[in-house]
Amino acid sequence: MTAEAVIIELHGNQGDPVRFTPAAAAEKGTLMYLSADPRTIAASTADGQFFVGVLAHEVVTGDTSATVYTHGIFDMTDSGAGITLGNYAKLNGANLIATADEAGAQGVAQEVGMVLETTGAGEVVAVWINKP
Amino acid sequence: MANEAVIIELLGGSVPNAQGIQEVVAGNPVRFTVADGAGIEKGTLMQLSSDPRTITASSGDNQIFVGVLAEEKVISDGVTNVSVWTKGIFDMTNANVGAITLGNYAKLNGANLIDTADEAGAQGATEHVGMVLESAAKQEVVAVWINRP
Repeated sequence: MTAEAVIIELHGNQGDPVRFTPAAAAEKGTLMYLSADPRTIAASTADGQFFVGVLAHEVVTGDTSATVYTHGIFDMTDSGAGITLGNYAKLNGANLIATADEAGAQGVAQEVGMVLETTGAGEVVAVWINKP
Repeated sequence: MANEAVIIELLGGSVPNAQGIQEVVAGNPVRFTVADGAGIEKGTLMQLSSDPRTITASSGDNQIFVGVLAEEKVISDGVTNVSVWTKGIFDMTNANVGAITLGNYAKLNGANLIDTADEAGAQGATEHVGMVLESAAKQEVVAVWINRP
């Protein structure tokens, strides 16, 4: 995979790490989403997924527990349309983000975090996360 | 009351102790005012009910969730403030309204009961309890990840 998130700052208690069950191997820095019961996460791949955090370590095949950072500021990669500072981002591809545009409560559930600088298409940008 | 929330994990930040060492503050507890005459069980889902900064036990839809009561409040014990946990993962009970899908946000919908959050807009978001971490049928107990406000 490419475009993994990079830590700028960890907030709270060392990034407020939370443990989940991983569905498969994944690189440190991968944007993870809630994929299945019970409390199972997988690497992001597309729009419409429920972001839970940034993978805090590499997961290899066979691992049954994984930790994600849920609170901090991370460099993430825009998926292609650009995002305006102050807007919320959502997942939109493998480790890629875009402007969150869904209405209603479950649109909010998909949010990654607040974009702290305006980004052009495909640019790397600082995103402030605090899940859920 | 029944269906009080049960701790799975308390998450949260840290504060410096007297020696300047960071110590974990589990569950990020926050204090609110409560009526002396109220009797409320530990684990109750609490809602912001009135001025100033006063909370009561959840009882229905459209209430503003603030956290999970961290201590028992005994009727007329002279206590007028209590702590709620605002950050963690808790077992909560789905109301008898509909199933909840993993990843969705829940809201209050009864006494210690949750349901899928369906209100639009920012003020609908203030009613959020947290993200449901597994799909739940009606009246099923389910893990919910909270981080208020």
